[in-house]
Amino acid sequence: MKLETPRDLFLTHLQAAASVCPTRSTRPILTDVLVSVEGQRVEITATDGEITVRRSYEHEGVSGEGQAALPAGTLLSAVRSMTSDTLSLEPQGGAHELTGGKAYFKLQGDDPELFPAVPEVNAERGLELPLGDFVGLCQRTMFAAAREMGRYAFNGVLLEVDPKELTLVATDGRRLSKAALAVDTGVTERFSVVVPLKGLQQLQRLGASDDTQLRIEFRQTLVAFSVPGTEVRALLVEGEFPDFRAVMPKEADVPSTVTVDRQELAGAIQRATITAGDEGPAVALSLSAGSLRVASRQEGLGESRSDLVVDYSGDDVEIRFNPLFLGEYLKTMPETQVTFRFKDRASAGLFSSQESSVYVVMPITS
Amino acid sequence: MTSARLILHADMDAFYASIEQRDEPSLRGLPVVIGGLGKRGVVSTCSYEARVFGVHSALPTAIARQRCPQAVYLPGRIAHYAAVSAQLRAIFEEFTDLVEPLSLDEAFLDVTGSARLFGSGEHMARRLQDRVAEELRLGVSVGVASNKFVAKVASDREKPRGITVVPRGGEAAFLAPLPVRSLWGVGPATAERLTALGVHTVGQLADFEHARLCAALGDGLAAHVSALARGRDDRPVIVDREAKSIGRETTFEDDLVERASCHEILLRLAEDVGRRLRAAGLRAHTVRLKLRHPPFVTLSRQVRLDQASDDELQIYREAQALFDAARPSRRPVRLLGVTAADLRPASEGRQAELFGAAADTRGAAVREALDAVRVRFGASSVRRAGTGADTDPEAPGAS
Repeated sequence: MKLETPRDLFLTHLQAAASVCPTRSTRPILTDVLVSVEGQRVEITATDGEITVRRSYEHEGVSGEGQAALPAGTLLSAVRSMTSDTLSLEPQGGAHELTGGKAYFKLQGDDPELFPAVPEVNAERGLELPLGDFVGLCQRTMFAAAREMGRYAFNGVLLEVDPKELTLVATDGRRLSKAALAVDTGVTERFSVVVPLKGLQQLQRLGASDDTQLRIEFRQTLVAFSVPGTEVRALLVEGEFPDFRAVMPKEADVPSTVTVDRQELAGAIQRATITAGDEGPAVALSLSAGSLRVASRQEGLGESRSDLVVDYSGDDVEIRFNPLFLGEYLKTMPETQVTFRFKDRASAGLFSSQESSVYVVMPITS
Repeated sequence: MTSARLILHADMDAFYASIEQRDEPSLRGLPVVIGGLGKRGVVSTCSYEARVFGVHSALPTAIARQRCPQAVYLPGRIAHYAAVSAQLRAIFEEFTDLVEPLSLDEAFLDVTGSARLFGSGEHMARRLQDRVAEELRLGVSVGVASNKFVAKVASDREKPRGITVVPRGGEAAFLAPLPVRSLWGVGPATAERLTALGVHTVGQLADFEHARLCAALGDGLAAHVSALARGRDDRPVIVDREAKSIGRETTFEDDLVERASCHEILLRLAEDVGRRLRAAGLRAHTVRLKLRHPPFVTLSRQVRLDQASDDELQIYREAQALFDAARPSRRPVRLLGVTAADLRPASEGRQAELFGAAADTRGAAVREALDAVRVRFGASSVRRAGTGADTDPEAPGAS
């Protein structure tokens, strides 16, 4: 493969694609990126076997042709270290020479024919919406998904497509975040899939600032996200997602309400986290007329509390939560006010900062 | 990352047997074997006179009797040994507050802060031996090193009444000639994988290419063993090991073969462990299974729970899952043990679940398994707490 390209442009796209590469793999080819050049167009493809990312750009400063499979980590470090405006890649024996300015690298690659083919989409259904809106939904939900494998389908995000609405739900079994967006999806019947977190993280990297249209397409085992210049394909998470509707508190399940300044509460939770300890941490929210006390105590460590003035007139109650669950939520939501609705110390608490998204958190009980 | 430490590992020489010889002069100079004397009994310790005949701890007593019929066989007096062990601990604490007993007869001492008072590690080891000899009239071997692992290996080097000092920086060279099996965390399976890579000694392991090691062992284990192989071990000496775990095990007069029978025993052990956890106001974050195939292949498997638990059914189902995964089909089972470790006070509270048992895909399997046990052994079998009727004296209490 031969390639001449502006260095910054190449680096941006390489960085985004390479983020999906595993650092080590039983299939060494997966630690490579596939660089394909045709005229003024460059494509960089990376996959971990489940998520495939293909970034492409066209620029008049680009020329070359062919394909090369090069080690992602090494290539990325090399390009990052270069200071020239342009760089070039050229075959040399079985390897590739990477040059630009004062820099010279010789990189051993693999046979590009061995690089896994990008899975076909053959979409059965699909929809379109502004990328920023979708990334917003991801932001409001992804933090609640389970980080580890083991709890089946909890390490993905449920994407439910309704004729008039798109809903994302993530849960780790102890808390659940749901965010919905009114959008004319064009589908006739509601369906849902579970998308791996890592696939959505690739979209988050694109940023949510512009109103680029995002196309989402579905096939039996695959979801494909496309915006100009980027394609993300992810194998769906297998296994059943729990019935989230069954655990959504109804009005009667959360009769009491208090509204708090989000940042003020976030600060109080952050302080409480300091003295909550690492193992099985708990923060107590104590409500009494006009006041919310946020406190924590850990044997052998110490204690802390913050008193917030709030508009509350119900009975005295103390509910304990994992402070990390509250902290992540409060950090993520962009709105200034948060409403907390609850029943008692043993029941789910419901947090919301806008009409279309809710966060259900189970308490720590004795 | 940590500042330079000085660690002693003190390991009593033939502790139980030496106590018997000390207390009963007629036993001195004779081979003495302490252990289970029943059909399934094993040697727990023996005097150096018996070791000459090939008797060693963990050897089935029946074989020991063949090898050394003239030895004096004693069942042992655990309560007495524990009392001596308490005296021993008092001596250790003359040197430092940081004493971590591993069992009745060995302990780690972090003497980093004591050097100014007592001098070099070797000097302290010498003094420790003198104190144990004059106070208890017993022998102890001491390893001196910059960390726990190397100190422990060192204490075993010159037994009895030996002192082995591994100077800082000399750890890797000291360990290099040892077989890889001497590393903590390298069991037979891992050793086999290392052998396949041509790695037999600790030194070879230390020099081995890390990426290939990761590929063979997985990142976590690879990092762990290569650190140990280079003589690195940052684990601190942990002072209070009181009630670090609550466990129960039982050895069978006749090996078990039926899966359901094994499950039933596990359930009884789990019930007992659960009951003792609740009685102590504790919950466990780790469930450990011990499984022995005849004649003497012992496996240990553990799982970390999402949430600390004192629920015997949960402990049971974790132990059962570990058992099913660890035991090759129908291989006879001689011993089963269930231990709850990583204990926390129950007062810490319990994180409530959103979806309850319905969302737990394993829930159904557990109920099925319980039902199967009930069908086979009658409804009472799964409600009755373990009676311990068929447990043997080696069953540990809170350890």
